[in-house]
Amino acid sequence: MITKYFTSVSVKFNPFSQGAKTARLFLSRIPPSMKSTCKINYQVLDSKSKSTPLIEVTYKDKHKQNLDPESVTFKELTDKLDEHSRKLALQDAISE
Amino acid sequence: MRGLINISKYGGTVLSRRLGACAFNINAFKPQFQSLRFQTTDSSPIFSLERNTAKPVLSRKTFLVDYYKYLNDSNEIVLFVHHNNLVKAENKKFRADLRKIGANLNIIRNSIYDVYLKSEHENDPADAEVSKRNKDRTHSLSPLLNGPTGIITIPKCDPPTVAKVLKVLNSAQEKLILIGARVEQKVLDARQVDAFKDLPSKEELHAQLVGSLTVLGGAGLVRTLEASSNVLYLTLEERRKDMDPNEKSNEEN
Repeated sequence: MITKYFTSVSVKFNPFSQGAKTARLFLSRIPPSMKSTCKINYQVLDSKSKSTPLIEVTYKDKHKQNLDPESVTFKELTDKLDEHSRKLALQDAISE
Repeated sequence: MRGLINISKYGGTVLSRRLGACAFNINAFKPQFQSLRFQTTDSSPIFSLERNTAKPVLSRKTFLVDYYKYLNDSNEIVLFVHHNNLVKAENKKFRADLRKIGANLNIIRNSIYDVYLKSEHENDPADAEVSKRNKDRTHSLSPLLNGPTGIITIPKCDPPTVAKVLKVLNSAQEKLILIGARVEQKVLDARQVDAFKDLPSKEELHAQLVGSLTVLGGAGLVRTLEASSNVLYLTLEERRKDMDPNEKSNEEN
């Protein structure tokens, strides 16, 4: 997963549900070296809470992407997030 | 040439002798070896080398299943945390902070912990037949075993200690995230743990109960406790009188 272009990430997940695996793997893939550039918000949900599980990523160019961890696997999630990251990488390469 | 053969022969005998000595050593020092493993003197099957375990007896996997059983048996509270790329300094700091409170952090191997959970009610979860028999069981805690997981063990069921542990976890922010817990035999989620930590400790509750009982006074309490059984007796007696024709006629006369 390309995390270089993330500026903020917010994750909501219910650890007892199916989607927890995707959300937790996603959280663990953000390296400690990104600590200064990427803000991480998280919320642990339970069966009674009203908000739904969510993964929200904001990129360097303010583009936002929302995904539901319950419906995608981790592989699908990374593929979707990398799509936009690759665009940004391409722009970087052109402007250099 | 002859010298070489001699050497190889000699070497062979030395080797086999050494192996023999090793085997002898293990048998001779078994008690020490056992106590080294868990520093307890319990006579549990896990201390024996003659077990029919699914993995080799002295393997790391068997050890871990035994260790998880030991941790769960000797601790009343087990908190499950998600950990995110702890760097060495953070790891050291969090562990030291938790140890000061009297808690302990262990990073677990999910699949091996799941093997333990599936046969946690058994005497020896690492046993080959036991783990085969319980293969299809599901445990209410096993959904937590996805991704990087650790357990924080607290020996006594004491809410103020949990409050202190949660303070450490809050300071860790996204590095350590509480995802669930097991308190005595109950499975709690993060919100329930949050409510649990505000309870007074067991000793305080006992003291409160004793206090309120003495205030209420002996006689009143006894009457209250007896009331329901008295009412039941009177009702049944009444019913018996209704059913009994002799008694009815007696009353009419």
